[in-house]
Amino acid sequence: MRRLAAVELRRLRARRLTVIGLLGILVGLAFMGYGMWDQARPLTASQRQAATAAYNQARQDWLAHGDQMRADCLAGQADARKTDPKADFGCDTMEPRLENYGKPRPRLHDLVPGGLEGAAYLVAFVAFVVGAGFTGAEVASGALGTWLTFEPRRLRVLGSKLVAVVSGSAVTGAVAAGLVLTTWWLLVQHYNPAAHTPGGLWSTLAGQAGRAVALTAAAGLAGAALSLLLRHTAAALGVVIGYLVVVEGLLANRFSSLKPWLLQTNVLGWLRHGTSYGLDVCTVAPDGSYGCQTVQRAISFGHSSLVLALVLAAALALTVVVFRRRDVA
Amino acid sequence: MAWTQAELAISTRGLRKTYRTRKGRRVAVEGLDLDVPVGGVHGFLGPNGSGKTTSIRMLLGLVRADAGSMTVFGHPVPERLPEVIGRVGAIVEQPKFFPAFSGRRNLELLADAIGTPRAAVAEVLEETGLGERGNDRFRSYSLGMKQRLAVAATLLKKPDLLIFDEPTNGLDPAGIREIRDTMRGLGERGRTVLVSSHILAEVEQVADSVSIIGHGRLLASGPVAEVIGGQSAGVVRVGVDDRDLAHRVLLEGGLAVRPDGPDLLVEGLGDPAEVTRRLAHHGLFVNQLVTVGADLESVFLSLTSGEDLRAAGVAR
Repeated sequence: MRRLAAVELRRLRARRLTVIGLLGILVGLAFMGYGMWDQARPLTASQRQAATAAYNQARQDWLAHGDQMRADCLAGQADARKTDPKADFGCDTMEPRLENYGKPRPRLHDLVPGGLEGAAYLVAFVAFVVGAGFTGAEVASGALGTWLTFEPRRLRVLGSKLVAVVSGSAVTGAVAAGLVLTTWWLLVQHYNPAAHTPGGLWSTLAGQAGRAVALTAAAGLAGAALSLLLRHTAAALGVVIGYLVVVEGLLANRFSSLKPWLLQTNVLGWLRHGTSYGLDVCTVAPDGSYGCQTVQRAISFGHSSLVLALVLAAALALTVVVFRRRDVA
Repeated sequence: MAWTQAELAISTRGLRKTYRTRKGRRVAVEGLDLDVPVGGVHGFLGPNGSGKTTSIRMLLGLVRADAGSMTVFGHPVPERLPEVIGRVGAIVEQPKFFPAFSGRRNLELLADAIGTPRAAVAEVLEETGLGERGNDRFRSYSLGMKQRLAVAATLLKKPDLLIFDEPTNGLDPAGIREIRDTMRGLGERGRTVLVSSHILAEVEQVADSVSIIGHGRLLASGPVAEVIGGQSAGVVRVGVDDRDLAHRVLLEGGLAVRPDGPDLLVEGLGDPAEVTRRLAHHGLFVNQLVTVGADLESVFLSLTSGEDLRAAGVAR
C-alpha cells in the first residue's frame, strides 16, 4: 500500500485544487500576519500623543476629585457587600496610570493561542475542501473505475487515498502552525525583547499546535471520506454546509442542550484543551415571574476528544463498508 | 464446444445481476454461461441493454454479481482477481481518466501504481500514436485520442487478455479502422481479445469466435463460421413473376416463406428443387433460385429478432 499511497500523494500534489488551496492558506496567513504585526507594533507618535493627553486629563481629574471618587466607590462597594460579601469595585486601583493608556507590549502567551486557533480553522477548512475534491473528482470523472482495473483491492485503494490526504493535510497544518509560531516569536522578539516567557509556555504552545495539526488532518480525512460516500465533491460540501446551518445553527439556537454535542463546541474544546458553553436556564420564581439566565458549563478536553473521535470513526467505518461493496460506474 | 479450464481465458457460469430501480428490480444478466478461449479475438455481441457491459464489469470486479461463478485464466474472480489483474487490460465503455492531467501524467500514475517503469509510458504513447500529444490535457483530447490513450493504458501491463467494451463508439472511420487493426494485431500475436459490440460488421471483420447474448442470456457461441452456418441452413431466394400467388402456394405447401422485396425468402429447405416442383405444379416458373449465404448480422438479427430488450426491462 505504500507504493499506492505515494502515487496518491503525487496526484494530490499535482491537483489544481490543492495548489489553489495552498495559495488560499498563504493569503489567509499573510492577512493574519498583517493583523499580528498591527497588534504587536507600538503606537505611532500621534497615537502615543493622544494616549498621553488622555492620561494627563484623567490625572488632573484624579488630582482634583480623586478623594471623592474613591469615597463614592467605597460606599458603593460597601452597599454591594451587603448582598455579596465578595464584591470588589477595584477602588484601590482607580488612580490613573500611564501604562494603562495606550497599548500593552506584546507577549507570546497572550497572542499565540488565538493566532493558532485562527490558523487551525483556516487550514482545516481548506483541508476539508481539498480532501473532498481529491476523491470526489475521481468518482465523478470515472477515473476510479480505471484505477480499480489496475488495483482491484478496494481496501488498499481506499487506504492509500486516505493516507495521502491525511499526510498532505498534516504537513500543511504543521507548516501553517510553524509559520504562525515563528511570526509571533519574531514580532515579540522585535517589539518586546525583554518579555517574560512563563515556564512551560513552549510545551503548551507545542501541544496546541499539535492539536491544530491533528484537526487539519481529521478535516482532510472527513472531506475525502464524505466525498467518496456521496460520490461528489459538491454533495459533500452541501451536506456539511446544510448540517452547519440546520443543526449547529437553527436547532442549537432553539435547543441549547444540544451544545455539548455540537461539532463547533467540541472543535473549540479540542483546540483549547477544554472550553465552556452557555446554557439557557429558565425558571419560574415563587412570585410567579418567569426569567432566564445563561449559565456557563464546562466541556472537558476528554469529552471533546471522544465526541470528535466517534464522529470521525463513524464516517470512516461507513465509508469503508460502502466503498467495499458499492458497484463502480 | 467443450473446453478445459486451461484453454479458457474467461469462463462464467450462471452469472446473474439485478439492479434496483425506482420501478423495482431489473435483471441485467440472467444466468450467463460464457466461454472465451485463450488466444485470438472473441466477439461479445448483443443488442443495447443485453447485459454485455454489466458482465464485463462483473469480471473486472467493478460490479458485484448476485449469483454465479466467474474465472479468468482459471482464477476464480473476484476473489482472486488481484492475482490475475496484471494479465488483464480493459477499457469499459468510454475511456475515463483524470481530465485535468495530461495523457502522460495519467499513464505515469497508473504505471507507478503497478510498479511499471516510467519508460514504458513513453513506449506505449508512441505505440498508440500519442507521443506528440502526450503532454496535452486529457480533456482536450478527441474521442479517438481518448480511446487510444485507454489502449495505451492497457498496454502498460503487457496483458494476456484485453477487454474492449464498445471500443469504436464515437470514432470516425479512420479511428474505427485503427482500433480494429489494433485488436486484430493483438489477437494475431497470441493475446486474447474480448470485444463487446453491437456493431456486427466491426466484429465480423476481426473476430475468430463470437458469443451472442440477449436478455442477459447466451444465445449462441462458437467460431464465427460455425455460428453463421448453424443459423443459416436452407435459406433460398426465389424470384417469380407472380410473387403473391407463389407466396400463397408455398405457404399452403407448409414451407416457411416471407416476401423480401420483389422476391420470396424460403427457410428451412432440405432441397431447393422442392420449390420449383411445387410452383411448376401451379404453372408458376422461377426466374431466380439462389441459396442465401448468411452473415453475422442476419444470424444476430435472427437470434435476437422480436426482442425489444429495453421494453422487456433488461438494463445494460
